[in-house]
Amino acid sequence: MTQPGSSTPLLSDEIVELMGSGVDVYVATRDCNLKPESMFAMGLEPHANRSQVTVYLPEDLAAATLANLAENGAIAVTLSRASDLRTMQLKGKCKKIRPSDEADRERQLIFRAALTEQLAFVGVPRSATRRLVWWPSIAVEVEVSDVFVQTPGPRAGERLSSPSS
Amino acid sequence: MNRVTLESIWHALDGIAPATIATCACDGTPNVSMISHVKYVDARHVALSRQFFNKTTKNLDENPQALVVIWDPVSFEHYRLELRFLRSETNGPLFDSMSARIQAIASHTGMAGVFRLLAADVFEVLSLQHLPEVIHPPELETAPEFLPPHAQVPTEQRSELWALQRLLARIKAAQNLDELLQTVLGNLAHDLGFNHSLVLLTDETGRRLFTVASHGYGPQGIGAEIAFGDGLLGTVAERKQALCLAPLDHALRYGRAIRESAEAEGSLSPAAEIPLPGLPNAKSQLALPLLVCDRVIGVLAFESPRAGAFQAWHEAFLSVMADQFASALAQAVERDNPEEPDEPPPPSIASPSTATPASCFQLYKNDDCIFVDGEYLIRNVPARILWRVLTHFKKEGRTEFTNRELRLDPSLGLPAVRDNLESRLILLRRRLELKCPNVRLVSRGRGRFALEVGSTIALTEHEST
Repeated sequence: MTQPGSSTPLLSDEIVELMGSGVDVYVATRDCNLKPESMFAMGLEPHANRSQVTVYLPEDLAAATLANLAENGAIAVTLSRASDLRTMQLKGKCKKIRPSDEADRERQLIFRAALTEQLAFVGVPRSATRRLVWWPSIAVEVEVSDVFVQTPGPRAGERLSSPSS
Repeated sequence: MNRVTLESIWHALDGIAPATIATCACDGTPNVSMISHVKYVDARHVALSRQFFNKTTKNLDENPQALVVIWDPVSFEHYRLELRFLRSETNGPLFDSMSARIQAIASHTGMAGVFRLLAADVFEVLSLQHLPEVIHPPELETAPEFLPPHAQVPTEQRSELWALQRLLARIKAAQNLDELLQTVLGNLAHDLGFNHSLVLLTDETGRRLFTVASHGYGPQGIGAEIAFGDGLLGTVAERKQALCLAPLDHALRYGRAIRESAEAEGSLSPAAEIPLPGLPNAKSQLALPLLVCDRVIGVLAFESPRAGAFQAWHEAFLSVMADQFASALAQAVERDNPEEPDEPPPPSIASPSTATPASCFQLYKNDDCIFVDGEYLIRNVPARILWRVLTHFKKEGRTEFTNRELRLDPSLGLPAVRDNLESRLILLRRRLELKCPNVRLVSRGRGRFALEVGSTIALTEHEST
C-alpha cells in the first residue's frame, strides 16, 4: 500500500528487506526535558500499509522508554546490518503499546535467528547473541513519518522518504 | 546496577566495538546513531569521532544531552554513559590521536583523503552504569572463545617490569642487526604471547618501509613494502604515532561502508584497497613507530586473531621498549660502518657443487628486479647488490666481499649516510633462503660476508619483464 498522492510506499521494498535481514535495532525516545533515552529492540515488523512498524522491546529493560512514549510518543528507530553497516533510521510517533502475544513471539524468534547469523558473520559468537534478553517483550506500534539514510558516508542523514514525498 | 569506572571498561572503549549515541533535537525529535569510536580521555571525559556533519552534530549544538550505549566485545556486558557535550576539538593531541586512527582506516579501504576526522567531540561523563540485565550469564562452554595470550614463561616471571628488564638486557647484548631483530621478536612472543609481529625499516627514500624481520608468519612476508601514509603501518610512520585497531574487521567494515556509499553517489574513484599483510583473520592490530631523535627509522607491528587482544598497558609497555629498540637498531646499522676492513677481501676461488640443478637468475633492468628459476626474488637495492655479487662470482670466482666495497660502488645507489646496507643484506639473505636455498650470503664477521653457492648458476639480463 502506498501513501495517498504518493507513487512509492513510505517503507520501500528495500527497507522491508533490510528489516528482515538480521539487523541490530536501536530505539531512542526522550523525556519532557529533552533528555534522550535509548535501548536495543529484538524485532521489527513492517505493517501491510507500509507506513507503520511494530518494534519489540525486552520488557525488563523498557521502563524508561515506555514512560517516555506514554508521555510524548516521539520515537526514532535505527536498524543497522552488521556485515555492511547498511543503516536506516525511522522517525515517528508511538500509536499503541501492548504486551506481545504468541504471534509476536514467533516473529521475534525468526528475527532473532537472522540476527544471530548476521552477527556470527562478523565474529560475534552465536552463544553471545543468544544471551541477549528479549522475552517477555512489549510491542510498540509506530506511525512512521520519515525515513533517513544512516549508512556511514556522505549520504548519512539524507531523507529517503516521508508521507509527502 | 553496579558502579563502574571508565578505566575498568577499556575493552568497550577506543573503537573496539560499535556503539550508539542518542540525542534529541530542540523540537523534541529523538535520534539514535551508530558511532565507531568512543575514546577514553580521562576518568570523567570521553571523545567521539566526527567524520561527517550529521543530525547528531546538529542536535548536540541545540541540546548537549546525550546517551551512549556501548558493549564489551569480550564479555558482551553493556554499559550506558549519560553525557554532556562540552566542545569540539579540531587540533591538538586528542584530535591528532583520533585522526591518525581514522586515516589508517581510510587508507586501508582505499579512502585516503576522502573521509577524515572533522572533529573530536569531547563529552563530560555524567554517569556510567553497567547494565547486567541486558544479557543472561554466560554458559560455561562459551568462555574459551576469548582466552588471554599463551605466554610460555611462568606467571611469577611475567610481570611487565621483569619482562621489560629481560628484553632490554637482550637488546643491549645483541651483537648485530640480525640478532637484534630475532631477539626482540622472539622474546616478545615468548614472554608476552605476541606471536605475530613485523619489523619494517625506512628505506633510502625516507618515504617507504620494507619488512626486514617477522615472527609467526613464516618467511613469506620478508621484503614486503608499503609507502608512508598507506594503511595502518604507513600511517603510523607518517604520523609518528602508535595506533591500535581492534577488532580490525569492524573498523574496516566501517571504512568500506563509507566507500560503498561514496561510490554509489558516483562522485568517487577510490584507489585500490591495500591488502593487509599478515593474518587473514586478524581482529586486533597494534603498530608503533620506531623513532630516533624524531626520525622514523621503522615500524614495529603486531597482530592477533583475537578481538581486543592488545590492552592499554601493552601499548605503554611496547612504547617504552620501542624507544630502546629503535636506538639499538640505529646503533646496529651505524656500528657496521667504521670498523670495516680497508684491505680487500682475501682472494677466493669458488668450486660450486654440480650435484644440484643449476639456479637461473634473471635481471630485469627496467623493473630493477631479479627472478630466480622463474619466480620473483627481489628488487631495488638488494637486487643490485645480489647481481653485483653474482656477477663477480661468475666472472672471477670471487666468494668473499666487504660492505665497504658495496658502499663505494655508485651503481648500487646507496646513500652516503644511513644506507641501511646491513638491513638490506638481511633481507637478501631471507629471500634467498626462501626462494633459492642453494645460494647463501654468510656473515664473515663485521663488515664482511661470503657467497656460498651449492649449485651452478646462470645469469641472464633482460631489458624488461
